[in-house]
Amino acid sequence: MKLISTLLAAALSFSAAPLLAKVEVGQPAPGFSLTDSNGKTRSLEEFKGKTVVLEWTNAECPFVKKHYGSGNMQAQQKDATGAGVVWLSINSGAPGKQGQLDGAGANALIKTSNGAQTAYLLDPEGKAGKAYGAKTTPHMYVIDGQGVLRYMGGIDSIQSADAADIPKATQYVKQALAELSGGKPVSVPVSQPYGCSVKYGS
Amino acid sequence: MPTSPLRLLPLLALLSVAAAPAAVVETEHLAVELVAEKTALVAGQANWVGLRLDHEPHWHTYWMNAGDTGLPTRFEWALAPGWRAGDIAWPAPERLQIGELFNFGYSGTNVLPVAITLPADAKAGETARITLKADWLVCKEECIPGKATLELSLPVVAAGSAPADAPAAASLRTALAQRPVDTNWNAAVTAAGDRIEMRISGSDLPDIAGLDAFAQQPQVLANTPPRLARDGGALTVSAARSDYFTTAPRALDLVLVQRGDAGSVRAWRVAADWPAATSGGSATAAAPSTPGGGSGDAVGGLGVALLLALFGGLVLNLMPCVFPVLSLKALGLAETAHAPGAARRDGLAYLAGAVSGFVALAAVLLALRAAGQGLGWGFQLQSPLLVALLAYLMVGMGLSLSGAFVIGARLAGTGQSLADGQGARAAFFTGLLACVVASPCTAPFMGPALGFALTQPALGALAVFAALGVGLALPIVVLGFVPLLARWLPRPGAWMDAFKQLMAWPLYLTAVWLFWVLMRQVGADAAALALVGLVALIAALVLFGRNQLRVAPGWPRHVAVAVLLALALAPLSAITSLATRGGTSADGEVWQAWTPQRLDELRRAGEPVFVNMTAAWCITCLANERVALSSGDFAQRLQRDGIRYLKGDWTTQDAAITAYLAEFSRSGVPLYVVYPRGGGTPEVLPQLLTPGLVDAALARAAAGSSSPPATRSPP
Repeated sequence: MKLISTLLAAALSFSAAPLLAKVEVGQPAPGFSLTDSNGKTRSLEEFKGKTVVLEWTNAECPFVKKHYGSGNMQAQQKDATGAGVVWLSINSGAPGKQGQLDGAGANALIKTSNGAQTAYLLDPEGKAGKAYGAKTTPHMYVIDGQGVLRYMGGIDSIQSADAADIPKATQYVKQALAELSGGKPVSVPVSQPYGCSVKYGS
Repeated sequence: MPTSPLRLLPLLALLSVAAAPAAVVETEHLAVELVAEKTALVAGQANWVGLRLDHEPHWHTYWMNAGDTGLPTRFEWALAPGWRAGDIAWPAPERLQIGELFNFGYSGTNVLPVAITLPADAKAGETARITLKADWLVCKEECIPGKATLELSLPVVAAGSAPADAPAAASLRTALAQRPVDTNWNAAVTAAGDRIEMRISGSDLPDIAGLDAFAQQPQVLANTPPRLARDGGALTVSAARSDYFTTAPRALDLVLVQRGDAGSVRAWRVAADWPAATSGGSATAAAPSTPGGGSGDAVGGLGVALLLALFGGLVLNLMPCVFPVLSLKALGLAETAHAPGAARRDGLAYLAGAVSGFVALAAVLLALRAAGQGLGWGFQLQSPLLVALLAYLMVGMGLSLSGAFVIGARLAGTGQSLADGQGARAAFFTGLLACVVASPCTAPFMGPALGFALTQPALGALAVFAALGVGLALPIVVLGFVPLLARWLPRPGAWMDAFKQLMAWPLYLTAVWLFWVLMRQVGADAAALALVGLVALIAALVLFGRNQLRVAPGWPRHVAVAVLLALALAPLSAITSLATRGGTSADGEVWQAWTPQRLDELRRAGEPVFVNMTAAWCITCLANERVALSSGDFAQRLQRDGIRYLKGDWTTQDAAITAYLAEFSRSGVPLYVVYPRGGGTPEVLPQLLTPGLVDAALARAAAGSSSPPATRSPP
């Protein structure tokens, strides 16, 4: 036993940190600390005990527009936060890149789009994005109350920029949240994320 | 957005039926046009048409598997009844990099061809209208979805006629020529840890210069560039597994694309069934045929691997860390020659101990690998804590042999234990101990051979490790079962004590070596702390030995031993926190630290590269460095021929190196790879180097030889 625990400890202490990290469903989600659109520092730690949804976003990306223009994203945000789930929209766009916003810009966007997220977090250095290996906008993650990643991937099952596809698609985040709150295992824990690239700085 | 005057163009085209040029539709950053190969469509056969894509510079659209982001272009046809449109015959894609993301698609001008098959009774002389609704995503860094409805009107001609080429014929044929050709190559897929490898063999395999590989199925391979290697007559494509891999595809289709300097593009498609779920027994078709440890091409399956492991286990008995302990065990058995039943039972228990030791260690390793840890055999010695504990164990056993204290009859294996009925259990633990004391030797000497085992399905791998245990235990078992042999052993006597004393020294030397490894791992400070602990351990054991001589030692003496033992172990808990990664710096050295990025960079620049994967605890590696890689000649050769020398240090765990080793079907160091100038096939050098061999390989690499002989390691 001692041998095994020693080995495990040794193995864990050497986790390399590549530029675009990878996270795994069933493993603890990496922590982060970012400033929200109101200038307040928010961390994953703060929401311990609650289910947290992370949504990588860029309002000028056509795939994000698909889900905001149709109201799909806001409706899911409203449902989730209404049920006590924390919904964090994260913008990892670097300064000068498409869709990057400051706090005031983000607040204006939330207002015009009727966003119902818990907070809109600014990640201009791409720290949180890279820690999660976020590749696309939207790119979705669901973390349970114990801080364990339960879902990662696309917002839904039909990879397109066409809002007409939304009613036909399986909404994976919605499904995962329903299953988690019902104490059931998440039936689709991983799906292919689709969308525009996250506009990281170099 | 399509502009209105342009929208009118198709209508105008319809009016002039005779030569009906299709219209170019200008959308944002992309101009599209529906084109045909010929000026007419022939009844009863397939006719090539295609969507011509004219991208603005730096903009691109996507292949059938778009990569990290993006969407494949999609077609929807409206055709006359009985007409059929095939799927898009995707030309070879390009790998497009944006920051750390990779996409697969097209830039510049390209055509996506589709075969339109007309029924035999299509009426000649009529003008047919083909309508295509296409939608796509066009991206630079930002993306814009686009769509267009395109029409093409062409006269239908009777079956068998040969209409003239249309103006777009050339560009359409270029695209068709860039379609991957289906091959009859043999391909096998292995999925181990978080890497997926396809090994392709067959005739006319492409050289790896300018070669890239793409998976048709998304969510299987990561989209970063795969590693390609020519290994004798085979081509190996090794890629990280996609983070979004959920279910294995039934088969993996790879498209190989080779881009030449002059803009030439060739592409091949090769398919392989996904390996069946893990099963024991038979080696799967996907088993790689480059086992480490020198088994050559002949290793076809598990049987040979088992034999090799058995032999390796036997050889382990002669290793400096094992021999002292086991030779005494063997001598002890000589005494039991008069009790054959007990000797047999003992032998079997010992066998069970050794085998379970190895199997348990292998199971831990397999479990950690399955959990995604980039570990290989030798991983035990990558933990500084374990290295320190093994050093303590060596000194402890050495002290016992030197006579400072008596471990007790059981471990020494004398006849006494048989009398008290503890024999079998004691023998089992002796077997286990043999496995543990052997581990400093198994890692460096057996590592490469065991690498092969780890690429096998779990049951097969465990069987190989079990065979290693059987080999280790075999001499003792044989002694137990053939009393005649035991009788040949020298009679126990006073000389045994002298022999014991002598045998302590190899153990002390093994401890010195372990401390040296520890120093390399954690730096001088932490190693010194471990040495302080060792002094406490020696004090504890010496005091313990004194107590053994007393008839009834008082409790304060026992407490003192316990306190000293605690003092010995305390520093170990601090080892990892004190560790200052004492790696050697590359300053003034002929080598640079290996990183996958650095290697890729140099290879892309076409420079010859010599890669050396090593570890401080790997004796073979150190011997090779001393013999072949540290001479002035070697350094001169590197400098004269401009060969880059990259060295990867696997002394402590390093996932990138583990992944690189896996590409060569290795699970341990050493590994030497020479990449020739101009990006040809890399050459894997044997695991035992000679200066001449290295020099010849470097000369070949400097010359940029395109097909070096595939060398394999000697047994």
